[in-house]
Amino acid sequence: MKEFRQRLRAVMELFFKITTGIICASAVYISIFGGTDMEFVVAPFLGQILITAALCSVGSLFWDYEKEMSKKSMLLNMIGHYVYENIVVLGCGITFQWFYLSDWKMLLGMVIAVAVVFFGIMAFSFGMDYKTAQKMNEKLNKR
Amino acid sequence: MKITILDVAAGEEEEIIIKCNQMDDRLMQLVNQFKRGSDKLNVYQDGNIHLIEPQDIYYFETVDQKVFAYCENEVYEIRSRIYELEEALAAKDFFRASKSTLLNLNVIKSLSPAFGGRFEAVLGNGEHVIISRQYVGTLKEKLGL
Repeated sequence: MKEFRQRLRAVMELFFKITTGIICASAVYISIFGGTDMEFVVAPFLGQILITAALCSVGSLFWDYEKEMSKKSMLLNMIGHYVYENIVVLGCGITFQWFYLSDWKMLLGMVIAVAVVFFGIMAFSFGMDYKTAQKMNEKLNKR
Repeated sequence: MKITILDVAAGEEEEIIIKCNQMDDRLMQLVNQFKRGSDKLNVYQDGNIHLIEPQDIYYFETVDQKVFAYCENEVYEIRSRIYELEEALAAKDFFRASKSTLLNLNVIKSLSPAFGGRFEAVLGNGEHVIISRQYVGTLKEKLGL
């Protein structure tokens, strides 16, 4: 039960990170590709963001970073997770008509947006871990 | 194993009686520990028994259901379970680094982030040991963070 709560908490934390990333990327995306009738787009768009973020977060249940694995397995795990996130976002994008597959520029823009959010979150998490490592090294040096 | 503790009268000599069918390795280890009166561990290498101080061990690792003690240059087999060592050595700055590894905090030279919330510990002898995400909290606690 405790383990499940921890996993659920990790999913929720990821959900908030992804939601923030998607909203930021969407703002940039809409400003480039969006039309003038924004009031008709923004209202349903919020619900669509939540659905997309929820589906992206659920992926962390399948790509479990708590598992102990080799560097190679970890890399494969990350690639698998990245492919999953692409499928979810592009799938949602097609379903919610954020873009059209026939327009390669829009498709490319979406792929770039996914990459920016995914690697942005990775970089952010790595940066936080780097700070933690520095603090722990300071404590180690004081011992 | 049943453990019975009996009160003795003041001045009466304290005594440990072991009732068993056969003296196995674990019982021998316990007897030796009582005889020695110290925390030295019984470890095995090439059929020979050695006694080593826990602080000389860099980490313990379970490989194919056997537990090995890794020192600066030597590797010994130890006939205890990793969870037993974890309990016994918690006060000596050993902590779980992963499901299969028990690491001596005092031999860590530096720590760096690895992907996926994991950390990599560089030990005094240059070896690298991965600390799993789920045990990072224990390490932080040990360091007072």
